[in-house]
Amino acid sequence: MHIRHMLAAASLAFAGAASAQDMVVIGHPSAAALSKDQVSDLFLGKSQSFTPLDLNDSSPLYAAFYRKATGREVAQVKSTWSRVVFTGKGQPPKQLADAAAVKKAVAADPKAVGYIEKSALDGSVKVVLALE
Amino acid sequence: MRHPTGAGLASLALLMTVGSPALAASPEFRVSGFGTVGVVQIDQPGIEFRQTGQTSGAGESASFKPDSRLGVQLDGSFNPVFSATVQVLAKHSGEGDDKPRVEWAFAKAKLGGGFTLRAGRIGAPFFVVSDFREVGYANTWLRTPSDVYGQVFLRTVDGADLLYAGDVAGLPVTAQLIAGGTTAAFSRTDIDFKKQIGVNLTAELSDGMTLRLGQIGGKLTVQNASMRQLAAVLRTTPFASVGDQIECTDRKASFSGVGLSVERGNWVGSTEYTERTSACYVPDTAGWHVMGGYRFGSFTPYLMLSELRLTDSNVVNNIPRNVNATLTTLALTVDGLLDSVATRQATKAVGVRWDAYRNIAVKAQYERVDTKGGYGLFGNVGGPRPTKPVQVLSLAVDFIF
Repeated sequence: MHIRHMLAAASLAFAGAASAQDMVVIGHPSAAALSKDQVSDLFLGKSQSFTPLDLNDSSPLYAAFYRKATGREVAQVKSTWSRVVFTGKGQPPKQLADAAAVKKAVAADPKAVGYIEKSALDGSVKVVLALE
Repeated sequence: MRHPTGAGLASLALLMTVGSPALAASPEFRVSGFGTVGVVQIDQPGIEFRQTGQTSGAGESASFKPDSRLGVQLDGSFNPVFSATVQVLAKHSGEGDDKPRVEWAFAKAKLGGGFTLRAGRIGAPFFVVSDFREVGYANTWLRTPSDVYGQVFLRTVDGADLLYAGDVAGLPVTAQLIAGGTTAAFSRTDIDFKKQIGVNLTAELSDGMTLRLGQIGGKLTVQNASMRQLAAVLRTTPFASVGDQIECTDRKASFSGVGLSVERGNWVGSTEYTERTSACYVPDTAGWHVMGGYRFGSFTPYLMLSELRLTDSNVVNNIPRNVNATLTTLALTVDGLLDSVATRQATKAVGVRWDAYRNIAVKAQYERVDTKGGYGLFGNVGGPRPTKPVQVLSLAVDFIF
């Protein structure tokens, strides 16, 4: 019994941790869905078809997003962007303070794409890609 | 450089004129920067480790000169079409100082259809890693392999280029056509590479694997008084042809290369083969490198092999050495000149990059450089020619901001 309780508690804790990491890539309510490759290209500077928006690079969601969407660690992402910036080819996404700021910016610009924790989702924006 | 900021100012003026009609569209400016604090030490007396184009470097006591540098870049975007970039770089230079110089200053116009036009001072696309070669943080290695990148010490072109980025047969490609000229100084010798025309092509063959092909040709002038004097003297002798082969004013020169870079999963790697040619006493060379590394968490150890070969001295010294003292002296002077530009070496390097913080990388690199009986790319400061491989130890901290 005791062990079963512990396992149940542990699995609940894991489930909780997992859902805290669940995030969604969001766009303007009029936006079409994007593939993971499209999102990856956008956030690594390979595509300019939309305007990507970042969370602050010290936020845990930033690292989790890049790991899930691009398969790269923060240092690799920074290194990739430094190649884009120091060839004069582009600038990394603007960093916004929190999910509310990302939603506000995305709702206001049909070209903007951002990411937030799933729990912060509301009707002002549309999910263009779910990352689990 | 005789006019180090001339092109920079010209393109600043250009970007101001193209920018002003668009000022109403709220211009955006961003400042970014990069830098390296690095020390280098070698194990043999009387020679110095330098990056090509530097007038002094690191000997048996550690020196910050070869690798330390600081770059600041200002990007201004005026509207969706026009933007401009100015990059200033401070690095131990060919004039023996560390003064900041305008590395880039160009205005850029997006023409649509994947085409972009730039004018001003632009990074010269000689290599696989050209634009961000000075950005240590952007690279796995501690520095670009000298055996390849040491063949040309010009890094910029004052002129214009047309860039295309798009898909060809399903592959993402970029194409660049560039035209312009460069003047750079080494000690008190000015080197002009004028009437340059170049092409640079890249194709992303598969995810993370990029192929690069490029060639730049132009007219080379080396403003070296002793070389010119020697050529002039030779022209008064029956060996005028030797003088003609040495003389380097408006002589054809070119640089070509093919390369491949890979970044896949935890693997990183690159390789390139390059050739330098000229129609004067600057010898034809070939340089190649192969590098591979694997990322274990925040540590990326890597191995690198490279070689710089001399393929043609471009001068046939047929002056007889046992007829009289004057001819012997001339023959030996020609030998001396050719020897001073004959740089051969082969390098084995091992290093590690540690991503210490999100914008800081710490690197260590150990090299063994076989100088093939000469001084290779090492500076001769009165020491003997190395008889065994020179060991070079380097530590660097790279950062971006």
